[in-house]
Amino acid sequence: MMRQQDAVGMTTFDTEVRLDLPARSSPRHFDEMMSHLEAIKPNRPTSLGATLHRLADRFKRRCLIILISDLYDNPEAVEPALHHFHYKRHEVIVFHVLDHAEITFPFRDTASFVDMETGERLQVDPAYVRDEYRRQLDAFIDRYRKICADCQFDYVLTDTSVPFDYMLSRYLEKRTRP
Amino acid sequence: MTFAAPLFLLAALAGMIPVFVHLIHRQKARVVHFSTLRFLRISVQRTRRRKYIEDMSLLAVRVAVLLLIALGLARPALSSLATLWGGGRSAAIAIVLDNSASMAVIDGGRPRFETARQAAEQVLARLRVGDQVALLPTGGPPGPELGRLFRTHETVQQALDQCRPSYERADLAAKLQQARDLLAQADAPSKEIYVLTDDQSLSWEGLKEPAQEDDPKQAKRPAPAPVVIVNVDREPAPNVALRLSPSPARHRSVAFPFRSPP
Repeated sequence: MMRQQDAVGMTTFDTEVRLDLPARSSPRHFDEMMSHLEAIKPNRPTSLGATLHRLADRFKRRCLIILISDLYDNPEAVEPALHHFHYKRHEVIVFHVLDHAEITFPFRDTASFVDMETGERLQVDPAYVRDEYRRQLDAFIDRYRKICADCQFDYVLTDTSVPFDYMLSRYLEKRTRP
Repeated sequence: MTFAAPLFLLAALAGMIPVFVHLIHRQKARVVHFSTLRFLRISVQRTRRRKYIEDMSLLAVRVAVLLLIALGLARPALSSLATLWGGGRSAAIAIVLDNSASMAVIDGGRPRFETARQAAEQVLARLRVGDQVALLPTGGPPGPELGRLFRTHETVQQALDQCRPSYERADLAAKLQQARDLLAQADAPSKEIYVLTDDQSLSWEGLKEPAQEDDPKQAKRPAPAPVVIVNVDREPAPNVALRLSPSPARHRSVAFPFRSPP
């Protein structure tokens, strides 16, 4: 996008906006974004709905917003925020990033699962919960897929086991198709 | 129920192995860092009951298998079906002790009465906590510990220790009826009468059969307690039990010391 002189900005957030680089198109700005991106250490819980609302208010000009997130927030809270982008006539592409283990839940032995955001522990026998877990996750994904469809946003489920460039090129190829 | 190799009952402790394995396994659960527990939490809540039932059933089966192996190794023996159905619950036992003059006869180097007393002690030793027992000597002075059912077996043991051969004739028929009446009042599911005697014919005179079931008035009464006649005479007379009842299964005559059936 920067090669075609489009201005690109970057915002990182958890419960609030942590980094906000305004949209520019210079190569130096690109380097700055990359260095910031590498320095990010995710370790806080997320408040996706409220933050997206604030961002939707801030973006005055119509723009393309690429949202990269695991979307682990209450869909009831996120849905109005995405509608807010739609109302402001922004175009949004949602990359829903999930770990391969989160999607397939391949665990066999009893394990103590630790929430990476809250540190909460839960001892689980995967054999018992696997089916129910997958049902819950599928319902969660379907919910976001439907919200995005309603807003006419692109929704891309992203498995971390698939190389990002491969996934992105496939998405762009699909997007350019008539 | 008796056990030929009771030491193997210690192997029943192996029944705790599945519990320990479960606890050890629980402690060694590996830690997995996961992005969110929200779906896992819901899944655990929804499957908790099923998992609990399955886990408990599996644990019960594993423990039961180990306990049954231990029980099998201990080689249990069941002397009668009554032991199986009623043996686990309390029993009421009446010991009719013949202490007539003939019991003072020295037979085989020891008085018959001592042999009878030893048999009575063996009966007492077989009792379990909660069992009721009564001692009914055929002669001698009456006492408050005689002719009554006690749960404190020591009381009966002390009464037995004080018993001596008398110079009276034994009326086993009357004592047997007294023992039947006594046990009829007891609410124990398992009842038995032991008659420890040298089996003199005179002692059985006037013996009445217990009420028969074909009598419509008696049909609803519980069956009379079975009688075990322990003959302490070294040269016993023909089987007295056959004279007692047309149903040999109801009474049995045994020699002392008691022996386990082959």
